[in-house]
Amino acid sequence: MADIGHVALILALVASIYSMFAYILGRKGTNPALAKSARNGLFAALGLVSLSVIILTIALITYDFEFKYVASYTDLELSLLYRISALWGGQAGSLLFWAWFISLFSVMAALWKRDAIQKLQPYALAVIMVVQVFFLSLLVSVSTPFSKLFPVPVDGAGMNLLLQHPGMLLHAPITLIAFAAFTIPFAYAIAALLSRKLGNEWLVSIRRWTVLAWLLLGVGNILGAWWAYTILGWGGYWAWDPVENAGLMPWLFTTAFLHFSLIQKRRHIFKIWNLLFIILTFNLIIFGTYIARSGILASVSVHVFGDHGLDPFFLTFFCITLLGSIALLFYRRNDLRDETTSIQLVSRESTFYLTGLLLAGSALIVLIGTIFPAITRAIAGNEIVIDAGFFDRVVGPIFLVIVLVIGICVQIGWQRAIDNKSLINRFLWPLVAAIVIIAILFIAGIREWIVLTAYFVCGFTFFSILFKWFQEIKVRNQAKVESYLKAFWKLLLGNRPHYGGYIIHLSIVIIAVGVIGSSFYESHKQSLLETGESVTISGYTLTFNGVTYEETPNLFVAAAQITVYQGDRYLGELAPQKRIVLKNGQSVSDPAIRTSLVKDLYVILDAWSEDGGTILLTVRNEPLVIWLWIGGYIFILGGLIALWPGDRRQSTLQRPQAVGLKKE
Amino acid sequence: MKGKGNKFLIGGIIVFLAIGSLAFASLQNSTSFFLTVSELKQQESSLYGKPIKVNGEVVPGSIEDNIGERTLLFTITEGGQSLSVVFYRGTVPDNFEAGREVIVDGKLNTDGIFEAHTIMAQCPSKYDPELLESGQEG
Repeated sequence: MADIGHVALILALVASIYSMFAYILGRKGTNPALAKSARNGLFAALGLVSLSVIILTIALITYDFEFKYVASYTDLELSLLYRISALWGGQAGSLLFWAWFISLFSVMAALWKRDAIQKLQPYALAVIMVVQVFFLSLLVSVSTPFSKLFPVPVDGAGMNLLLQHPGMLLHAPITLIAFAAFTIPFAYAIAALLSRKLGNEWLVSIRRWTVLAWLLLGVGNILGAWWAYTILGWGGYWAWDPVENAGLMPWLFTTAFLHFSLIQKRRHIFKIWNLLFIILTFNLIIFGTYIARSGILASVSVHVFGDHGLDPFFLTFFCITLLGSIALLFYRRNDLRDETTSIQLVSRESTFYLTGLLLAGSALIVLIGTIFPAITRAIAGNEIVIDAGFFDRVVGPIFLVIVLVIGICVQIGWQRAIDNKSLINRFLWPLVAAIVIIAILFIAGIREWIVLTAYFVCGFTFFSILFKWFQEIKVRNQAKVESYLKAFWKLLLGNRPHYGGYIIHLSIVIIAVGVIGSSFYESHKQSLLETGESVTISGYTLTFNGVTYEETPNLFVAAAQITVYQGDRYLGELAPQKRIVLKNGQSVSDPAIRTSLVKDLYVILDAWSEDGGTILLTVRNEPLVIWLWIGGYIFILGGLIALWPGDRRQSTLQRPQAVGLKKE
Repeated sequence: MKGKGNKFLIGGIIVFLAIGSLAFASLQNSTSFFLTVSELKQQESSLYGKPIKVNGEVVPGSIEDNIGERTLLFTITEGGQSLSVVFYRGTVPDNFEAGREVIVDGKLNTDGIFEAHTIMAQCPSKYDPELLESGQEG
């Protein structure tokens, strides 16, 4: 079976190479037969890659330890779901999964019929095939999931306990699918450059693709944060680790693109910027994969990827795609002149421009900070490491300004003359709401001016969006004599991208609220407790009642029994655990978390004495963390509303202010 | 027409200068040297009290976990040199163990003992399978 999988990948590689050349030769679209056979090559490649994915999945499900891959990442104790998750849990498997989705998306792109992009399609598919050929080449040579073991081992090595977590089932595949999906916008950007069709066609066509990839990557990042928070036992959710940054930077550049592209669509400016953002997004994904796997940043990353040998290929591919696409952009610079029209200083264009600059700027800061150790080693010989505080202090304020700009932007229409008086009227209620919020916070005892400023900004923007939304409902309510509820519903259905956008922006503010609270008011305390002793932190009293032990066939579990009171009120029992794998002695902390809307109580069992009478316990108070996850759900909701397939005439081309605002 | 384009350009430059200066100002007190044990030993006297991260392997048998005093003592080694580390217990990473590559974050005291406030043990990542006990590649 393993051999069939391997041969299928080789044939898929051959088919992809064929399609690549067929699309290059047939790029003018003058030879329908060639175009058809190129397309058949895509289908064949998808079928063959799917076959190898199926073979590997069956091997994982049936404990076929003849596959070295299966023996390396699973064992007889592993449950079905996690055996399947090993498909993307190992290095070769993750590349196969990635290549599979590139292939799937290439077929979807080939089947995609829209007049505007017919001329771009052969170029774009050729570019996608170049990427696919790169991945398949790795999969049949240096990183094959189909090497065999002889003699066949009785049991496998098993999956790392940290990976046996729902995060593994969701975060890893969603992130990989997002990475694969970003191939399509990149391919169309390069197609536009190659074919010199640099109008708005490529931009408008790929918007939904890009939003989809962007949404998946955003969800992947939030899930990664949640995974880190619930299992790693350090109470944090984001450490500015290079591997995390590698997921954040492409997301920031794409966010900048999503805003600049709206300006280009209307005003025909910022063409170079938009191409640049898409090019950087794709290349940073490849670069991120390189740094995650190469060990050049081992000094700052806790993730060590044990597969040296793959990184030179990713570095080479990165250099080729980056230099190639930048050179192409430079070569076409004369075709990319902006058709400048006058832009008012106070307009949605200018606020979008500012947002895009801030996003791109923060992404650059993250990039420089991430590779700083490697740069200093290359230049000065001595490696200098930047701590996470740097990112907090630089990127934090930039993000806060972005939140503020969102609140201002939503009240300003596209290029419309607004007199100062009506502007003040629009900002009045959001400002009042924000002032009320910080007044309440002040009374509640919060005195740090940074926090008050930050929450003022969040409150302003949150209510600015809600207020604007309400105005739009009110206008419709008056114009059509519909009830408010019906008007709300009709508006939402009538212009889902617009209102999906509102919801996504609200979710960003909600996430910001959680980040600010947990960054400024996190507190923790480590205590040595004997049976019956208590520790108090931020109003909670925790009493230690002893350690219980449990042994399953493959695990040894120690759990500290803790009773929690808030003042005199009994809240419940918590049992932070330490789990040890009997086979290899590997241990994993399983913190106990008591969540509320205001704060999480986060308890970690650090150590226990042999008689179980004494423990070392870390108790953390993590305010507002739950709002990150709530914001994450709202982010998904907004994205689904914006993207849900529906009436084409309504969805992608509708101007946001065309509905509801006419009467304003 | 041209003036409008410039306005955008100037605005952009101002934004980037602002971000750049914020970054530069923040850089001053958020860096530390990253050294291996042998590199640290070479320039020991010039490093006392400075923020340093040191990379080395935990010497088997050197770990002395004193829960009662909340200290963890151990020695790390690299390039034939070794360094004694004292860690006033915070949370020790799960995968901290003898023979593991670790990065200790803290400062070097004048008595030559490294006082760590954080231990990072390199995560056995999803791409780093534990060695197979049985079977050979065929």
